Amino acid sequence: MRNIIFLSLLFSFSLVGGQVPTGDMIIRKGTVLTITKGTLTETDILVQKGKITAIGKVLKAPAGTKEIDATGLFVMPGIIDAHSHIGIDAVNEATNPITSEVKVGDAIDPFDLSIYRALAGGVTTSHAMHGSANVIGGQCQTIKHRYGLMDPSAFIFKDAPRTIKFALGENPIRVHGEGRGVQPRTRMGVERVIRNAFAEGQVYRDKMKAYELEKVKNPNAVPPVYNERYQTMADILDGKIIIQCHSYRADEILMLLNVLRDFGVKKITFQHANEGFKVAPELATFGAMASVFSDWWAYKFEVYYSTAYNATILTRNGVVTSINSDSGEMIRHLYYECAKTQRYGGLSDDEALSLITINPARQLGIDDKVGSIEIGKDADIAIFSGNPLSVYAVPLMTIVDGIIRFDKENDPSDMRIYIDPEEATPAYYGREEVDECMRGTDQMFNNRH
Amino acid sequence: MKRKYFLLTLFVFGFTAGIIAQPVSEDLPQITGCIALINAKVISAPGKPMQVETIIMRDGLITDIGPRAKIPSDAYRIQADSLYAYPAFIDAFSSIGVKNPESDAPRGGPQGGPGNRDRNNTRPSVDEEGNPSLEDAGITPFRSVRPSVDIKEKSIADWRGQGFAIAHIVPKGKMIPGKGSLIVLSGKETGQLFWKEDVSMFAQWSGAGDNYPSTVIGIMAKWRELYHNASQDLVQQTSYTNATLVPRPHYNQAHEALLPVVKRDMPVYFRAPKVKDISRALALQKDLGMKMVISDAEEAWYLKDQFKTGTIPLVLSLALPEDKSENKKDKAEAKAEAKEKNDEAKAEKKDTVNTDPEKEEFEKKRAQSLKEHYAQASVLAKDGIPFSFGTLSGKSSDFTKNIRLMMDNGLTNDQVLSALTSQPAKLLGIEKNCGTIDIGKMANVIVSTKPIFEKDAAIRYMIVEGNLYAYDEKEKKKVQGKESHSASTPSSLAGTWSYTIDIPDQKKEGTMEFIEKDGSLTGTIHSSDITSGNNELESIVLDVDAVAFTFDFEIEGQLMVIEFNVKLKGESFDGSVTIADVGSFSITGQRMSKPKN
Amino acid sequence: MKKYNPILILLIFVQSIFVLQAQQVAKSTFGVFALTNATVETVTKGRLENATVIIRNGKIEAVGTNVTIPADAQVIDCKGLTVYPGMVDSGTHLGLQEIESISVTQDYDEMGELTPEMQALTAINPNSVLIPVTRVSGVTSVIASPSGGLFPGTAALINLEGYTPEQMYAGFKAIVMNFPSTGRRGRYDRRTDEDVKKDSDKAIKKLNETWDRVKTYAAIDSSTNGKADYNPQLAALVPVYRGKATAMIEVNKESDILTALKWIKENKIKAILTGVDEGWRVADSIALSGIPVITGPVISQPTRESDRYDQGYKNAGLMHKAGVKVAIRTADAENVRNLPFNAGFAAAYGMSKEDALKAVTIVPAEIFGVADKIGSIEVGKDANIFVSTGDPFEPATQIKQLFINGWHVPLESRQTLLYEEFLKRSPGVTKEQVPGKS
Repeated sequence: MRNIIFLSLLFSFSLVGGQVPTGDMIIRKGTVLTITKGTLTETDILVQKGKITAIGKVLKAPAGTKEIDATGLFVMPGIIDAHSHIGIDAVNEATNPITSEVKVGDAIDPFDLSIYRALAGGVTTSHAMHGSANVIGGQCQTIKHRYGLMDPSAFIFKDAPRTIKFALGENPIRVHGEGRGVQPRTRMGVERVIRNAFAEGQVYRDKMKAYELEKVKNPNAVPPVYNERYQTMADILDGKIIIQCHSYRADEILMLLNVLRDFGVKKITFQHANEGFKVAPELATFGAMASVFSDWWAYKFEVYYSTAYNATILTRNGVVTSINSDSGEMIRHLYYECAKTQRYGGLSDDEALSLITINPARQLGIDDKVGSIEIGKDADIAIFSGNPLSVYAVPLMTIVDGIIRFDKENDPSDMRIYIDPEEATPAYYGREEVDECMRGTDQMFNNRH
Repeated sequence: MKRKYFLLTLFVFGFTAGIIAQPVSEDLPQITGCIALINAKVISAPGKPMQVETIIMRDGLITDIGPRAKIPSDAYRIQADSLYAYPAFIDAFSSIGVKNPESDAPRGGPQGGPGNRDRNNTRPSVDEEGNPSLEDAGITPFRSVRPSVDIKEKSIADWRGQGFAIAHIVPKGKMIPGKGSLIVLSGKETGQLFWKEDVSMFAQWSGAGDNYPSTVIGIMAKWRELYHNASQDLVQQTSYTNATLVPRPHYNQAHEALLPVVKRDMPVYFRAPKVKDISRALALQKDLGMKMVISDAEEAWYLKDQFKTGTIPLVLSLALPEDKSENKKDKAEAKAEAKEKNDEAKAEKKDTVNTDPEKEEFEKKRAQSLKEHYAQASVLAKDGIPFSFGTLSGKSSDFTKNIRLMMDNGLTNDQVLSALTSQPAKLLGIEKNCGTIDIGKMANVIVSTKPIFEKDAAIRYMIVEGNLYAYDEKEKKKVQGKESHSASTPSSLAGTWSYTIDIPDQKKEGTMEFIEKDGSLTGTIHSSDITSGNNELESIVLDVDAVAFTFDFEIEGQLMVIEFNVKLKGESFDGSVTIADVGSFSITGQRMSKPKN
Repeated sequence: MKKYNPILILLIFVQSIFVLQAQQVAKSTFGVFALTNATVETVTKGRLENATVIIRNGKIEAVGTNVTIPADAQVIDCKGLTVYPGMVDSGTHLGLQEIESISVTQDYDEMGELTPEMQALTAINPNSVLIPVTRVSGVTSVIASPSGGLFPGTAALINLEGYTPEQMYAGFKAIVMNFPSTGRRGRYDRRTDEDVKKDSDKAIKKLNETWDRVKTYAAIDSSTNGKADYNPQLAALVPVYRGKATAMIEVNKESDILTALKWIKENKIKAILTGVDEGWRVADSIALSGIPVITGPVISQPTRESDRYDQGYKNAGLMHKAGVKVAIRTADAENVRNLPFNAGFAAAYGMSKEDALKAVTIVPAEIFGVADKIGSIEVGKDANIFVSTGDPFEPATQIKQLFINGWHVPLESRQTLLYEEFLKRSPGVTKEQVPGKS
């Protein structure tokens, strides 16, 4: 019975007045891992209208506020995945080396069960990215895991900065140079494609500026042909969009830093960056950030010279670093992925947990809203049975905007929202691996990331 | 490309076996321009009470109606005392009469698709690369449906036989296939079908494969770009006309064709069957502001709140999901298995199929989902949301079955009739001319043996703009009569047959081999067009002389089901081949050899 | 949660750098070792505190709290540390694959459906960069298994130390078989239900036909005293038919598992089930059959959308609870090092920590019939041992010593070397790369 009530609350089909639902609650007596302000024992967190309004011992809450007893449990900010492809139906518009105008936010899939499974791993926010088929791929979408809502727009992380996918190395070379017979077919070509795109963006920006000036004097002024591809490049040049660049090798990372320096672009996070550790001082000096795997390597040649100590070396060199999943499987246990930095380099608890909370929030430009437990921030919270860095810790409850979206005790086992009327029994699927980053190009190519 | 076209041309076979209406004397000359339907039980419009009246039709119009309407002496008299008359149906969104596109000619030029680029000519220009020609990109808003319409298309007679007189038809294609037209389902040559051309723009979420845009995100971006540029062109054209020192607007065929859309003169019929398709189309509408009609909707109830204001009209699909419940199958199989296993050691764990609670739970959910799909129309109707029906994804042979399914799930008689007459008339702006039986309206009347949506009701006459089509009910009885003693008639399908499928401008040929063993039939198809591994015919049913079977064909990861329905005539057969979303084609065959005994 | 002082850890690494510089290339050493003052997790005989383990001639010579340290022993003080038996990964491509996307570095999938005579041991690359990366996590032995097709070949148990495959071989081989599946390979398997069924029916038919031939071949082989016609495929399967060799049978879907159990019973095969993703659905039937199971990766998605999110994590524990003998594998190559964490997840989701440890030590040793050699810390067994700062399933734990077959293996891999080189890169940023100076 409880389940049914819970479900009916969870699965509301439209937004009331266009507002995403928020909730009130008080989480009592947990060990609170604030990430930015230390660890607080036996501490309460008060949540009102989806925001954290008070943190402290024995807080008073308005009568009727939902109480959650976290005695003996660990309470941490909702985990943030800076690189994933869940919750969207289209990943790659792999028909052009430059597709800066496409937006994966146009293809949000509210029914993707991966969103729920991510919640079951304490993940409340993810960065749904365009794939790595194109040198300049589409714009990405930061989403909140409000699983149960039907309206795709309800998943959009409000006021998150725009981000765009770039991709260097093997993937764009394979898709375009080898697959489609156009540049780039080498890392030299990759640089050229990026420089060309920025140059076109500059030209377009100049034309638009000239038009805006002309328009004041002349009402019949003719605007340039509207081009969202160039406009997006211009927006990157103007610092309105954060670049999120799929990259592996040290040389290609340096290449992009040089290009960005030439064009005056500052905001960049390198995604994967398996060889980021080799150029950590350069990244730190530039102010570039890095979002890496905990230990993936050797799945293709450009990640053969990797090390699981990557995150540690980057962190020790002052690079803001996060650990991401790029996978509907791995997103379910990012807490364990970041814990591996304690084996590979001995990061402290706060350092390790920062890799999946405040650091990805910084990389996505949402650190003023999420990523730590602080007054005024969104009530995106994950509750664990023990220290989340222990392999034995189990996520028990995940809260988004003050609403419980995952509850281990009370969730029914079948959490599908959309049921195919022609499919009698849910199909069995084997474990053949899929390259999320290359989704949409899978007829041509078959390897991961 | 050839292979693909073969596939595209072969999709679902209409069930002619259960035919209700068989047209007679369709090709005979019309005797007179005046018809008198005498003493019929007339339902003149949805919601109107049934009244016994005589309807006089002349020169395609209803000229008189009433219990004592005067019957002109030159009238062709139909004594309709036992018959019912309804306004004929209007199809709000369909591809009736539309041929499949010609097979793609080899593409040339630097955008010639993957793999055939000249190495010396590969420098990407940022704007050209991946911006293929409009045709390759599937962006052809300048195209009218008219050139692809053929009066010989079987679908015209098929849907007319189901009661349709008017259809809003759209061309086939990808992202923006082109402009739709209004046709009247009657005429001797293709041109006569047309009533109003270019009344709508047709759009859908179909990518251009290897070309940009290939995905939903590419299509969204392309729409934004096209729309903004068409809007800019509109402003510039005005400036160019009214002021000096304005350069001539840059001409782009697609922008030009989209001007009526930007001006909101022309609605965009957006094909959006599933809930995500609908919410994305609505998002696009909100962003750009075009007039939009959500079309071919199968799951609109999910988002019904967004239709309550009535600013976005809805055309619901007549296709319904199939009940693929394993119940029946399972029970039959389980019985057979149980028999077999009866003597086997009982220590073996018993089959848990029937008691598995997990499976029961799934079955419940699936049944619920199925019911929701069937109840789409009634749920919307209850909330006062108006809608029309469109046949685009529907099969004419499933029409009555699906209407009844919707009625079983709460849709009323009047609501069905309204969605097939007055609502589409209003949507298409032809309510002055069509949609009811009234004086001055087009003479579009269905004459049926029973209230039209009742079980066993059959259409006896269709009058389309005063043209009479008669249907013989005996045909059905004859089939039934044969069925009764069919069990004893041995089949003679086994053997090898050659076949020819008539596809416009080409013929597809090959052979089929049927083997009969222990009373069951298996078959294979062989043709140079079929290059994938599977060549087995499935679901072979032989009923006296009627043969039905299907053939699954996978192309680029997509499964196509080709349905065959043929009639055996001794050593030859003829019938039709149907592919859903594509069309029907006629097929003929000759026996080449019999099996050796 | 125990915390480690990063400075302390740095110091340890600095020390190892000194060692490195002294001898250039770190080599394994052989000899007599005494691990003293240690907590010893014997696995089979409980936990000993303040105990000593003596290693000599590649074997464990003594274990206990009252052991005399031989004069010739190199003493390693293990105060505050725990001694564990080396872990065993019961299903990997380790040694048979270097880079996943480059087919010429993959040696596990030979042409043909029926290639049981293919020997994984032949293709093991002892110098694979992946091997040191794996063993420094405490994984000392793995099954290196071929895959693909009905009978892809013969898997071998190897120790992760040695210059030749023969030196690495750890005494167990098994014929690998992929039991015909009625499921989809993955989410992108677009076959229709009918095609899936058709394909699996075909595969079952082929399996049964193959087995009929094996029977006949075996009969002829017996009646001719081993003079049957040369047929390496059938000959390779005869020992399985006669119950003299083990078959590792990969099967995952619920109904397939039941079919496989029946097939195994009917043909009286000595079998190990591998994969067994949906084992929890039919755990009682598996338990009843007495057939052991190798399952994993534990850290994996459920097999059906309708399944509870943690069903993958729980599978091993549920089977164990039903009485199935369960070992855990990663089914990986480059990240076999995550074996302890997979066992840890099994423990977090229902298995006891003790049973999870057994599932990567003594249980696989028993399943492979090598429990007299590996899988626990007992006198007379091979010295496959690691010493750690604590529970090896916890990510924060550090591995401090490693012995394989009595060889003292340096805790070094390309990944640690890169760490040492780049943690404090020298030179760091050069002037040209400072912003504004370009």
